[in-house]
Amino acid sequence: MGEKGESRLRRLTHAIYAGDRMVNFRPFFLLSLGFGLGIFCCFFLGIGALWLDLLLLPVAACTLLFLKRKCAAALLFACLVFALFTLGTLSFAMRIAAFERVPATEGNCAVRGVVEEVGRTEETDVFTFGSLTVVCESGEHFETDYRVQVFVYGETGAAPLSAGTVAVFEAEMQTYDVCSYGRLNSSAVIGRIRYRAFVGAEEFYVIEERGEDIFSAVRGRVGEVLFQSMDEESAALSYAMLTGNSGFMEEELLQNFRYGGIAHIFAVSGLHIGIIAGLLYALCKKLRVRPYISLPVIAAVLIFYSGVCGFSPSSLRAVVMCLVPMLASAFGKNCDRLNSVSVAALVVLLIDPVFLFSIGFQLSLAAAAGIILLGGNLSRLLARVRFIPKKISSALSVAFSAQMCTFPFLIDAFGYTSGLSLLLNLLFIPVISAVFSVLFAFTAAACVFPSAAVWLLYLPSYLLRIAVLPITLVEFDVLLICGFSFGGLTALWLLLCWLMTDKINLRPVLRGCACGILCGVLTVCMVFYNLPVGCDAVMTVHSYYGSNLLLLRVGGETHLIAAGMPDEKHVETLFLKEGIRSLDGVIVLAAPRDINTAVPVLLSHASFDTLYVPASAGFPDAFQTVDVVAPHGFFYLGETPACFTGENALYLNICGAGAVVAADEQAELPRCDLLLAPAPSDAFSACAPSLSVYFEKAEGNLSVYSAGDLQIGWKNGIISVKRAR
Amino acid sequence: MEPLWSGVSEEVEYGGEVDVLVQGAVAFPGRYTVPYNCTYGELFALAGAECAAGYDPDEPLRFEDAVLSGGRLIVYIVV
Repeated sequence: MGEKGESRLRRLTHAIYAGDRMVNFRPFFLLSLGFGLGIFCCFFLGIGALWLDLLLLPVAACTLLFLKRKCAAALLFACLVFALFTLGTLSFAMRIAAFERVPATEGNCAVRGVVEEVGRTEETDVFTFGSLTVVCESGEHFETDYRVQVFVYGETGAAPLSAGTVAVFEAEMQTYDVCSYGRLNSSAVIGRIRYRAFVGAEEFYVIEERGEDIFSAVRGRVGEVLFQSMDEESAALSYAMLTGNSGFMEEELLQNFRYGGIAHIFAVSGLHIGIIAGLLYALCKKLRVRPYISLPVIAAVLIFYSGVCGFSPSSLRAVVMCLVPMLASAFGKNCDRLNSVSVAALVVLLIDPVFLFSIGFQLSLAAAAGIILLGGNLSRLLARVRFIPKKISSALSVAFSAQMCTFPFLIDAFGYTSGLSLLLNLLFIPVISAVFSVLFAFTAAACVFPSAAVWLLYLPSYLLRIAVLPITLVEFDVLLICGFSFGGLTALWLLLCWLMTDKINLRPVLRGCACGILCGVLTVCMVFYNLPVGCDAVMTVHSYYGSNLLLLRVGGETHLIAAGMPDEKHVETLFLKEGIRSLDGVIVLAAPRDINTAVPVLLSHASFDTLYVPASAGFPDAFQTVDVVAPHGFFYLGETPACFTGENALYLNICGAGAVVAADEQAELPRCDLLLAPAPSDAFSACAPSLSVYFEKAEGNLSVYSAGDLQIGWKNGIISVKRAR
Repeated sequence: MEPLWSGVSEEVEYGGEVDVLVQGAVAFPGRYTVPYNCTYGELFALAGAECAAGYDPDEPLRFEDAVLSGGRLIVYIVV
């Protein structure tokens, strides 16, 4: 290229960006991105993702040449990225294969195992057994180091089990699949939990008591000290903040924290690790401990603390992000925060590649990355506003940038995010940070001096009660942002966030144009993704372990058909995700007793005036706010003619197509074009449907269990089925 | 290892027809198979009669008088 050409190129590049390059070279970011992409591609393409390596290597090489312009080094680095991509693919494939190799069980099994974890839900104690010996009904037996999660109903603590107990029990073991309801069962795979069972408290036979591991022992000690020295609510809150286990908290209070967008204080992460690291650092400085001693001591304490918290992805990420700058500083190196969060992500994914699909990891990484990428720029912008003090602008920028990057993940995982989150995080987090530092220090002291625990924990208990008082008094489910989802458009959202950072050196006008165009594209894509365009009628089918909910939208009306007893959590999440606050009619295909239970569950999340029940059910009109209609023959759900065929089946004529919704097997179902039923059965053969959709596992058939929520549309004589958003 | 994610896209055609049994004061009583959104006017024209009192000729067929018989949806109209 001649001088003129070079000069033209230089003018062009300087018109696009300021400085030496558009994007700074960040090696660890690219390496962890390569590894994560390998895992991601393996999920979608299987082991065939390795073919992408052939595409990735030249692309990576060209990108790096563009950035670095040093041929040999760039090619070498590209090979490293390529290697990590391959490693990501292979490690994920191996992890999944290892999980699937553990035998699936059917029927009643006798199980011998060691209690490794003790937890609690609202209604049950939960014991996780490991080191299993399983004898199946068929006589087959095997040993595995995978685990079973046992739910014990009844009074708390009735089961004679604690961490380290070796016990035998008999139960029907249900096997977790790698994927269910369209999602990877990341918590089961990461926790190596292959089975679950429901057992009565008196059905355990204790063989011996073994010692528990040190992390369980410390966790147990902390719990013991807290629950013996504080009132139950404060103890549960403290235990959740210190260990990340919120199972002892009242579900209503915990849900209110979630509605307020501040439940992240119960996921041990940067907030907690940073405070502990700060306390330890201050202590070491006060005691004049040399850096070559204080650094390993702080690292050991933080890693140990992460172990007490079960090595959760958020705590691991935070520990690595804390240690990397400390190590860099000890070696006299500068540490770029983006590189340090990338190293943290890489370390977590190397430990278990399935973490990529864990919502805890996604939120933790998104929040940290958001603060690092957006926080600085935003803080500088807000600092120019005169009436905002610097500390407020800094806090505001941190909270807002974390919100921006976690927004699509929260919406997709939980169906909502809090409109009050920014305000509550600004007001609450500084307070809770101070309370946490007092709580941590005094709890550590109380564990060492248990006889003084009541006195030591008085102050933190008092401070905690004051701090959470507004959360206990005010309900935060009033300003929830919900009713849509992002799906794959999350990538566009994150790209938009990245364009707004100072990590890309675009000229302001170009940056503005790029952001504007991307906003437009994102808006259009979101509209098409979320609105059911082009169908005369739409039915979405949602299932979750026996809770089968169908939403029929025709002629501007929305009707709910529940095939079986709806689960409250499932109903809440679905209604938030779909933005449903009212329904035009409800049908529950279940026994009258279950309908009686289901109606208040539904009413607590959406209003409706009319409940349709079969005339043969003899269901009493017992609700004050709901009209119970028991039609004989055909009736109308909006524009759709419908007719009960038995107690647990419904025939609908949707745009001329016959559809049967069956909650269980029953005789004499009519012929139809579309069948919606729990699972394949000979009982449904009389329907002779052109298309069958099942709620539960149905090998070789279309089911919500394998594909996730489904959307069925009617248009021009065609019924089409695809994944729901 | 097979992919864990699979796309879903299925389509089936359907007839969208309804059986109507017309009896009473019509020229051609009997069973007719008509499209789902057939109006009363079109139906009575097939049956060889003026639109009977109480039926709006422009209104699509209503199903209050329908039954499921032999697995098929049949609308009974007695003029």
